[in-house]
Amino acid sequence: MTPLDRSDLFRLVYRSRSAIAGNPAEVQRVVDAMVATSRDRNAGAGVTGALLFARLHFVQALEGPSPAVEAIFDRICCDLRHTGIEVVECGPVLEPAFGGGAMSHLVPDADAGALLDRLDSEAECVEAAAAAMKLMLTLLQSAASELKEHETRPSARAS
Amino acid sequence: MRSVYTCLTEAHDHRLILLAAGICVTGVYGSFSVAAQAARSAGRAAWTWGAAAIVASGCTAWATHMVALLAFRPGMPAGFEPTLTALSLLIAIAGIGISIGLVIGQRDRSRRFAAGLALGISIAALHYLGEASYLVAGTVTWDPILVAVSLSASLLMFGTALMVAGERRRPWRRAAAPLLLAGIGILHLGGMAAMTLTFDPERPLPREAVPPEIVAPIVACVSFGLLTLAIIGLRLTLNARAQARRDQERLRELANLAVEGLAVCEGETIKIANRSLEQMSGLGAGALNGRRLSDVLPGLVVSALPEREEREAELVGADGQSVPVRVLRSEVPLGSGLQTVLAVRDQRERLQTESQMRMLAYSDALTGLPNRAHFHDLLARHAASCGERNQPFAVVVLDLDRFKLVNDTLGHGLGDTLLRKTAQRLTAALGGQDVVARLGGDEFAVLQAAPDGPEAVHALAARIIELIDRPFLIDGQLVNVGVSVGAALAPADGGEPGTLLRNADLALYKAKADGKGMFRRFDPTLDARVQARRSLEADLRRAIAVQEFELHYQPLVDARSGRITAAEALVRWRHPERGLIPPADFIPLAEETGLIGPLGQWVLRTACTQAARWPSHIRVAVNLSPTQFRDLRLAETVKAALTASGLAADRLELEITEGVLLADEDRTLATMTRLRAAGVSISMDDFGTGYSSLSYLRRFPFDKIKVDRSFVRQLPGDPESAAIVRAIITMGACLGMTITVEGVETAEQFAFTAASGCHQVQGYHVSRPLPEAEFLSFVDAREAA
Repeated sequence: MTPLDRSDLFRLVYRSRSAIAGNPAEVQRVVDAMVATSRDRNAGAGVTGALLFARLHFVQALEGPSPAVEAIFDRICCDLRHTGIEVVECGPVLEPAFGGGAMSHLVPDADAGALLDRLDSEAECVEAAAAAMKLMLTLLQSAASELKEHETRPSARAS
Repeated sequence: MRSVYTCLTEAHDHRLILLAAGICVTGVYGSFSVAAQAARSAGRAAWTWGAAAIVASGCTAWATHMVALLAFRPGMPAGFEPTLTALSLLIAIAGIGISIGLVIGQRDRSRRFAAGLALGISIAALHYLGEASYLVAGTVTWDPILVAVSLSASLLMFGTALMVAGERRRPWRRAAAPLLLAGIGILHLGGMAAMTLTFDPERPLPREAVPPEIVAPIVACVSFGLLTLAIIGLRLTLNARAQARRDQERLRELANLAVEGLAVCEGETIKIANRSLEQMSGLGAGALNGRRLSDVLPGLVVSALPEREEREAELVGADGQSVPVRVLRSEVPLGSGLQTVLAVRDQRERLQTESQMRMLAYSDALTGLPNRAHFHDLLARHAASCGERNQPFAVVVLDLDRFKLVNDTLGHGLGDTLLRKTAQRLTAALGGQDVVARLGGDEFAVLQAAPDGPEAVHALAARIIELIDRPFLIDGQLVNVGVSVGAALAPADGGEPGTLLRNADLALYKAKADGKGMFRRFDPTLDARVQARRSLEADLRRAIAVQEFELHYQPLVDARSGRITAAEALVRWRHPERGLIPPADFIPLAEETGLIGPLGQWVLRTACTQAARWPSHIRVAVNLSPTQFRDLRLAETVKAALTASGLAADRLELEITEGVLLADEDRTLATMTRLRAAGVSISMDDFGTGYSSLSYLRRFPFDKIKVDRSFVRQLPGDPESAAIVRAIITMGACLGMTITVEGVETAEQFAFTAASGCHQVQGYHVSRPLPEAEFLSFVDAREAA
């Protein structure tokens, strides 16, 4: 990231509920496929970020040039596999918070259980979203430390 | 035969014989090239060149003959008889002229044969006259058999030569020249061999004989003339050839310049094609020449093409792709005769433009979706095919909630982007066979081709609402709009496209009225309500025309004295079937439909006319709707009503509500000023409801405030209402405005308002609105009391 890029950095974080039908294994397959395509697409557009899928909810952070984020969000909003999209954060930022790499797919570990429960039950979107963001960042950091051992993708998947 | 042989080998000077042959060849070439020039020329020039050619050929024959005679070595003194010599030349020229005259423009064989005979006879005459003119110092004897044989053989050859010269078949034509040459040779040599000269010293040369030494230069001169002519002919020929080449080159360049493809055809084969046609077929230069036409334009038979009539065809290019073309055949005179020329016009660009125009006409430029016209078209076709099989389909119409707000506050550019993104999301909501179109503005419609039932329509609407409800990110801003959806399902809610669209629209209105972001399917009761409204509207129009309205008057009394000071005119509709209809049931409709204009005018005129008959201290108050107040001619209308009725201007009060003040303040103020200048007073009606902005009271010149009945209802028990009413009365008094309290129904209320310092009271406590006659008797009773 050059300083020039950084000045144009835009972040959008949204939360939504999954509308994918099927048992957990099937749902996970669909989500994996979604992550794979979105990772390629987003990387091509210079957009990075993180996607968290837990139980019923998606939380995704998109960071990149404003037009690219807009185009990706347009596509996300045309997708009927999730519903109840709520934007948690939206605006220009100075630093990427979710790393400069490809879209990270975060899978919550046991420690994150409490936060996740809040996310599922919380009526107040802002609080739940803040919680989700915190969770995502925590997961990212732990993934980063794991990355030193494994060279594979920055996910907490192994746990 | 021996004598012929020895005649050639011994009796002649060989060099002169060769010279004779040279002169013959030169002369013949000159004659022919000049004749060709005559053929190329027209008019006088053609005649002149033709004559020159005839003279030249005569001279050629003569000069050849003379040189051959000079080559003859008889071995005794010889000379020429001048008259006969000259005559032989003239005969040669005349004979050739006649011969040519006989064949020109003739295709008949016997005619040509006759011409050949004429030529032969003239050459023979030339020869024998020439020999007759040849004088020697001796005796001349002839071998008559040889003369006869050679003469008849050569004549036959002459005739045959000219006859075959005009034949169609080339080998025959080729035989003409050798035959002619042989004829001449036989004639000459036969004639020479038949002649025997015997030297006789007794017989000297006649005195008139001209010696060869004198004849030779003359012949040389003629020969030189022929040579000159040959050179001229050569130049002419070269020029003509160069001209022809230039013409052809220019023609080819011209053809290459043409945008259309051009091909000169011979039968079904292409002889030459221009560059355009080569490019159209994707072939290199010259690649089309010699190709069969059916390879390039399959299925096209040139001979079957009508001339000067374009035909559609397919041109197969080098890459096997076919190009749509139009082909025109014409017969064009090119060079020696008529040629078949095919003009091939590339239709790709035209077809492309046409399809682009069709697309432009049928699609919405902003979103790329089908437009209204296209949607109607699709719907009509779908309705027709589904109607036959009684298959269900649905028309779903929708428009964005709050779009106008977004457009007005965030700008049209963003509004356009929002519409484009809306189009994308709608497309994402559709089933495979469904079509979405933009009807205009923020109005879209979906043709749901084959819903399984009402649930499927419902599900589609739910998807649409879900997708459009999601936030839109535009230029870094989040924009939230919603969508209202209405649908009509065929055949249940109608089968005709027009009915379905109208019913879907009705459902959409219902969805909007029910709070936006909703889906409503058409419901026949919606239709009934609309029908009822429509019939009421028609009824209202009729009622205005036949004046089924009447005015009732509600008195306003002075709070202290109790005297009637004014009356408010209230319109009533006396319906022939439904009886008296209260204003609340038809005034809103009249406002919506614009019928309030004529109705309001009627009320104004009637109130003025009736009030003019009242005691002069009683004023009349007339309500004006916002629509009426927006009419720029209002002041004139009011003045006209006053003049017509004779009512004094200060007896008319016009009542307006806050709604009037909201729009275009400057115009409202101007209208009010003009009305007050005319002497009419203006009241603010229903004060206390709505915005009740106090700034209005400062800015607009009101004469009177009418306190809304809602404050009076709870008087005098409710301290808050009491405080408000008292405050308004005090404020009005300070601003110098008359205060009227409406809706006073009880004696307590009357007493309270009077005690608070209110000027006028109106309400059921005084009187309900009365028909004019009752009102007047009420006034009389009150005055008498």
